[in-house]
Amino acid sequence: MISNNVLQIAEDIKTMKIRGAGAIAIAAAEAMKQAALTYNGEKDSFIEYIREVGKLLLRTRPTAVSLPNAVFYILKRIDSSSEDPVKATISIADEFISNVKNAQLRIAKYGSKLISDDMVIMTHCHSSAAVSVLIEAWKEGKRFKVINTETRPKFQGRVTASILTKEGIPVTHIPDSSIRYHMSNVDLVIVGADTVTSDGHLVNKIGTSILALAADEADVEFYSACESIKFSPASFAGGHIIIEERSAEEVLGEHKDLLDKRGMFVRNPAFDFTPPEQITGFITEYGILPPRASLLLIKYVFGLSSGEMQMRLLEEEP
Amino acid sequence: MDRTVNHGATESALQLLERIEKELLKTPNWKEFSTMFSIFAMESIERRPTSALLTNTMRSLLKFAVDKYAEGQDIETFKKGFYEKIEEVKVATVRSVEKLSDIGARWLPDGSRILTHSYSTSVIKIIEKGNRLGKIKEVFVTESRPGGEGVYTAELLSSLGIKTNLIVDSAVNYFMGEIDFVLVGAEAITAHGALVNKVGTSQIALSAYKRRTRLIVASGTYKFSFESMLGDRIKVPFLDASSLEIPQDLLKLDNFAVSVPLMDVTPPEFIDAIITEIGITSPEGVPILLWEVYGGWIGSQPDIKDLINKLRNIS
Repeated sequence: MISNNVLQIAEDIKTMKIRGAGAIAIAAAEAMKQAALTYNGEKDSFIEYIREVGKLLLRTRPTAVSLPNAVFYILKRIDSSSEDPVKATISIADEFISNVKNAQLRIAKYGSKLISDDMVIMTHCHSSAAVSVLIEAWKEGKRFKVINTETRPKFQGRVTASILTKEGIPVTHIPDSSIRYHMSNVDLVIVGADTVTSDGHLVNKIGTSILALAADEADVEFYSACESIKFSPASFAGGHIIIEERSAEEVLGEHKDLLDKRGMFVRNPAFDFTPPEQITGFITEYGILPPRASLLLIKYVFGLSSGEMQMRLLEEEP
Repeated sequence: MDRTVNHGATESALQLLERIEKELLKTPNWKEFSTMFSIFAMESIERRPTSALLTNTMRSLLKFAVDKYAEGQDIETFKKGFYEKIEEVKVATVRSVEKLSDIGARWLPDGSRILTHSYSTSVIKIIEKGNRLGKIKEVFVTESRPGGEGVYTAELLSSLGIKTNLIVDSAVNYFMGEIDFVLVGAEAITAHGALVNKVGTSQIALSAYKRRTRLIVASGTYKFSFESMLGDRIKVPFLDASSLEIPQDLLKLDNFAVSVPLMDVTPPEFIDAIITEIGITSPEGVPILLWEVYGGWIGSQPDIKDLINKLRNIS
């Protein structure tokens, strides 16, 4: 029997009561821990049981990337642990949760070394990891300027501008259409990440790829600040990253009556793909990784077989 | 925001000509005419310094006035001639758009999937005529912030029954794989074939170039810029924070600033062809067409600032 508090966490992930990559990862690890704490079956069948809990969690949000990573981080290490599996689950889950919580601090430490005085740094959308790098560098006494995009349609750039200016960092806010125009004055680009694939593609907020392309053209270094839980083992097993296309209303706002015109459509993808050749590096909590070495991080943190296990599970009838 | 921002260069120039007719033709003597016209010319060029059509139109009207005054023409006869000259320019501009859109529509491949940016009279005409020939499959239109003229373009095209997809400016690279070519208008084309157009054009061009997707510019030869041949640099106008409708709580923060260029420059190597009223050319063909249209080396065109100064000296 899987205990009620585990089922409750699964339900909260499923209904999106828990959202955001970090929060989902922590919730999933917490559920695994709770499952171990409340386990009262035979010792020999614990491994089978904890795998079932893992499957249950995976099915709550089949396309989330951080959730399977939490599950496989734990399952991989239970297998190779010499400890009692129940105790191992609890300590590994705690270790994972603490890693996730500390990841941004480490990313900020590594990333801030890339920043020096008088730099102009461009960023896009709102990424707490990218923001933490900038704030850390500022606190270390480095003095630089930030150019940040509005990020249509939802203007997440306004959140970034507000956080940075409150720290005292000078911010110049620009429309997304003027990214290339401003790139000639930029020294460094730092964005966040939604997902990173096994071959080093970055999936991030729509517009990231044009930022990377313009940076590449202008010979400007382009980094993605990215926790390890964003790397996708499923992509190693051939899993596709599906780009969500969102509602027309998000783009049209007050003009939504235009949808009455017979030819009128709105295409509103939330993310785009940036190829590895336009990325200088991923700033992760394990260090700054060349994009084409993404697989190394996936192997180290989650194990190469985790993607295959995840894909098989998704392909099984529930 | 300034309303001129919301119009294509062609529309703005035509509106300006109507204002000249309305206001300048009332002046009773040469002194008042020349004072008013010189202020008018300066102001309109300062308001939209990037528009070659506006500069070229102003140059020809200024030259006309300076020449007629030098000939000793009386104000009433001059005003009649001046009115006719303006009408002539208006008709020529409209006719150019018609001709270049005929050529453009003829060029369009069957089943065209087009990406366009902002608002351009010439582009809309080409797509409209192409649609009548059954050549348009679908059109992608960027919002084109600041200003959002793309929403207006999408409204016009979708009203014609053309399948129109409105997208945000940052999504151009995402959709580049779903289109056959990019079609944009022009604010100006420099002598070496660079395109000055609504901001965002140059990153669309970069994305298209990277994917080997063609970029076609629809522009009458009246948008070719002489000044660029004489060493003048393109001054890009900037808009203020109101153009981005920034919320007050953000706007009032210390350390917060905006930078909103209205135009950008697309280098000639990103441009595959320019559709003009006399034919389709490459960016490198621009000086040849200038010669064709003006009958000689373009350095012989009078400097617009000299013309304004001459006009000012009329008393």
